[in-house]
Amino acid sequence: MSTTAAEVGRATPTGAITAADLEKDRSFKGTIGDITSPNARMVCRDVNVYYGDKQAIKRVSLDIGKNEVVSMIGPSGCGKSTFLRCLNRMNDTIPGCRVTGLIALDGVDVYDKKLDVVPLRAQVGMVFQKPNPFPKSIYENVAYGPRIHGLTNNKTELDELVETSLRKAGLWEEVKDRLDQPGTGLSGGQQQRLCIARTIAVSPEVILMDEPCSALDPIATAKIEELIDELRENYSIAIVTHSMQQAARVSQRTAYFHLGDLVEVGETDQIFTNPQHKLTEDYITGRFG
Amino acid sequence: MSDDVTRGHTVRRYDEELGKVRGLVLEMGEYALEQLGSAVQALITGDATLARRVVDKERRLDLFELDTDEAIFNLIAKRQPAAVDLRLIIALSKATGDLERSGDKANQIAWCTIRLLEREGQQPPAKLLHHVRSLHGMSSTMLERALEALSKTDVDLALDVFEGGKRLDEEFDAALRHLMTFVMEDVTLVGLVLDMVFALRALERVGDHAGNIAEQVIFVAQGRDVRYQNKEILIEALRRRKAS
Amino acid sequence: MSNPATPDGANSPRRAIDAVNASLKRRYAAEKRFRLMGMSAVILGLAFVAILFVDIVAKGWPAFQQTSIQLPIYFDAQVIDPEGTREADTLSRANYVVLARDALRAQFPDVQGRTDVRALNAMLSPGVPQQLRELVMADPSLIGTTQEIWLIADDDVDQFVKGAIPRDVPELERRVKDQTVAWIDALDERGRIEKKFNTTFFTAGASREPELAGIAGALMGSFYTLVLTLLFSFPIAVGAALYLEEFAPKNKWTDIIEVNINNLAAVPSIVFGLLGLAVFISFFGVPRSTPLVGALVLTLMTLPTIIIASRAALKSVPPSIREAALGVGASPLQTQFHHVLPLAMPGMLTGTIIGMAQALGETAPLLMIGMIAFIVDIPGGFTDPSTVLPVQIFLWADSPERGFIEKTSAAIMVLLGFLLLMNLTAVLLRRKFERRW
Repeated sequence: MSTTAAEVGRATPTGAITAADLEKDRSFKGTIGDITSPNARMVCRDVNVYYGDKQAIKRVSLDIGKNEVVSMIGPSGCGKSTFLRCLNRMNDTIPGCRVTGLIALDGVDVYDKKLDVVPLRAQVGMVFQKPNPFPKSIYENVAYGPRIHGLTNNKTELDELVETSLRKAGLWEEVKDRLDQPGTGLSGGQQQRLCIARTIAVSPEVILMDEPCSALDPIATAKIEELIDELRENYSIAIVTHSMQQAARVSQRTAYFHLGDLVEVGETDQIFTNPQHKLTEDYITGRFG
Repeated sequence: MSDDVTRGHTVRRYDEELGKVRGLVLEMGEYALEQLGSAVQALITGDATLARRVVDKERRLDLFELDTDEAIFNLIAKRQPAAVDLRLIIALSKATGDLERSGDKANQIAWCTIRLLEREGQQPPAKLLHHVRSLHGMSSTMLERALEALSKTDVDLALDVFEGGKRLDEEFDAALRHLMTFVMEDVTLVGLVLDMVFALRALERVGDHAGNIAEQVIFVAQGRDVRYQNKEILIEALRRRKAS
Repeated sequence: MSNPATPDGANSPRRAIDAVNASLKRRYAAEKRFRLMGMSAVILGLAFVAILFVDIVAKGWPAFQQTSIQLPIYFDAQVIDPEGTREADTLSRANYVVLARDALRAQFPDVQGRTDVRALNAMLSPGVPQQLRELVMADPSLIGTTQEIWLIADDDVDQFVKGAIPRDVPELERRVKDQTVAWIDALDERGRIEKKFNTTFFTAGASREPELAGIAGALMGSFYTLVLTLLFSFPIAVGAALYLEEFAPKNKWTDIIEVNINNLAAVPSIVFGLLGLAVFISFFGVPRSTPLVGALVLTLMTLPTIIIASRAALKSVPPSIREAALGVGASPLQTQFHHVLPLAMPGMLTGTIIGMAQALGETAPLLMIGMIAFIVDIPGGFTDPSTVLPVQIFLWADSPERGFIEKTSAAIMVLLGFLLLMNLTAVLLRRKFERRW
């Protein structure tokens, strides 16, 4: 394989990234579209992720703004989930995973060595692909986060927090009579909303969702999508999805990833009617081999 | 823009369905052109039978439109087209309307011919038909080009159509002024001249429809909606962009 | 496939379904054969197990009964306590043999001659004096009275009554002589000989006399050993598993550790015994043949089993649970202790019980650390010399006396009973707490 401009332009994984490096890389290939957001909450600049020697994410820059849903789409293995998991350092648990570049939450570098990852994860919550409630009661599922973080002073406050969280997740009416029953006994869609309630119980600023509806039926999916739209009022949301229609439905901005590159970012309306990059268009129109 | 926009889907049935809709629209365009040709032919040769046949065949075009709309409807429901596919579908849907109305114009010319022949009992003098001939040539060329541009998603051809539209307008103005001189010379010709103006107006409208289709071609190719824009500026902008 | 409607079917190309149908019979036959083989393997295995069980139960069942002879014992104050002090010391030292022998002689007044008298006396177990002593010690008011007492019969008499010594063989080949047989019959006629439930078996320690031997000592030894083994091995194994599975970096060293743990599980248990002997007894000076040193050795032996089972249990906890906990901001330790460990616990406990069952049945390493010693006293603590059930079985199996054959089998039954109980507990635990995601 011949050395491409991209490989030349890429900074060494450990070395500092210089402006010249950036320029070289940009000149070769850059993300199409505006990566910035007027009210940026999370700012990512030139993020590289390596699994051992393999580079999974190449110089990705993207903002996640206040009160917006950013969806990340792309074929399997394009790095969208990897990128999402960088945002609250869930990749830390994967051995051999290395992240370079800047990821900042409200101006604070989340990869700062001095930064504690536990409060970060309270600020940047995550909802996973498969609904994964703890095998405990519904109440305990929601109360767990506030309890370990000491968010409430007494039982009454905790009860209230559990109720508001479940209400926000649109689950309260369905489960208020059976809070002591195991969360695993709920239906798939309810479980996922329980997981969302669990996440918002610790009052995060950003919610990351990793294919939250891939295990759900269309009706449950619709409920979650409606919920996402409501949550947008208070949170910033980044969602990875395999369903382009879902990205089109729930997000304000869409980012298209391809083989670790962020190919194109744009208003969702524009991405789905008139994408600028050939790869984006091929993916969106179902022309991908 | 050599790539066929309907091709390349992972689901090949999608290719087929998209291609089928476009085929229907192109076929409909051919038919509209044929109708227009026959109508003008009937007018020029004073062939009432041919004119009646054009009127009879008008129904076919309506059926074409219904078929196309249904195919588009199904395709949207089943495939949820996005990006270029979506633009193509929308463009085809709009082109169908333009073609149907072009067909209507042929119909109008045919009726005009029938009325004229019944009233006058003979074909109009050749001097009055000159402009019909030239305007028909221009508008049908435009429509042909627009259809070709649609089939190939060819921006250059679409730009040609715009330019043709400019010339058509000039030609129409010139024709009107010329026909006015006949009326001034001989007032008895006023009925005939009005019929001619009516036919010319229909042909000019066909040119407009061709222009609409060309606008849709640009929408498909570039995702830009260029309706209601100054075409001269547009042509210049697109040519310049292409050159750079 | 015969279809009269299509006579030209023979000319038409063979359809795939015909080929399928043709091979169908063969395939079904193969399937049937395979099933039969499997079934017969299972049946064969079950048959052997059944034979084993039937054999053991048949042999061991009589051990739960003990032949006793009822005699009117006159607790002669002159023999027991001539001075009438009723002091415990005096009472315990008295010559109770005489009381029993006199009572027996009274049943057969015509027996004369030293040999005959000795033969008559031999019908009673050497444990009889102890039996009488205990009665008197418990209730001194018996002195001076005559009581009908069921006395333990000698093992030969016992075996004869149980039919283990056949009646119809020549006297020379029989351990019980004709004369004794006559006495037994006489006693039987008078209703003075009977088979009673054998409490001695469960309350006594080891003894040279089969009729006096019991498994209480071995049981207690096993109990103390297992308690210690559990206390040592469970925390260590769970900690090791947790560290290796959840916290240790995956590198060459942890790989080596993993391979070694798996190897340890396959090391012959006697090696652990040798190790225990060399390290615990010789080097650290842990008292030999005690439950403590036994537990240390068995801990070494069961550790790999529990570690492997615990790691499997940890692995079976879905990663989504860890992600969920980490996702709401739990620290790794909180994640483990709040979520992963409770979910893995049933599996860990199952592994532990299986490890304990293995330890309960283990003999070889304990032989090396002196737990084979002949210990009459029932151990009362972790540092008392003791033996364990399987070693007791080994010892009895080695004893020449006829009466020990049934004791061996009976002890095996008890051991098997405990093993079954432990495994059943493991199964039930798993049933009850197993979760499906």
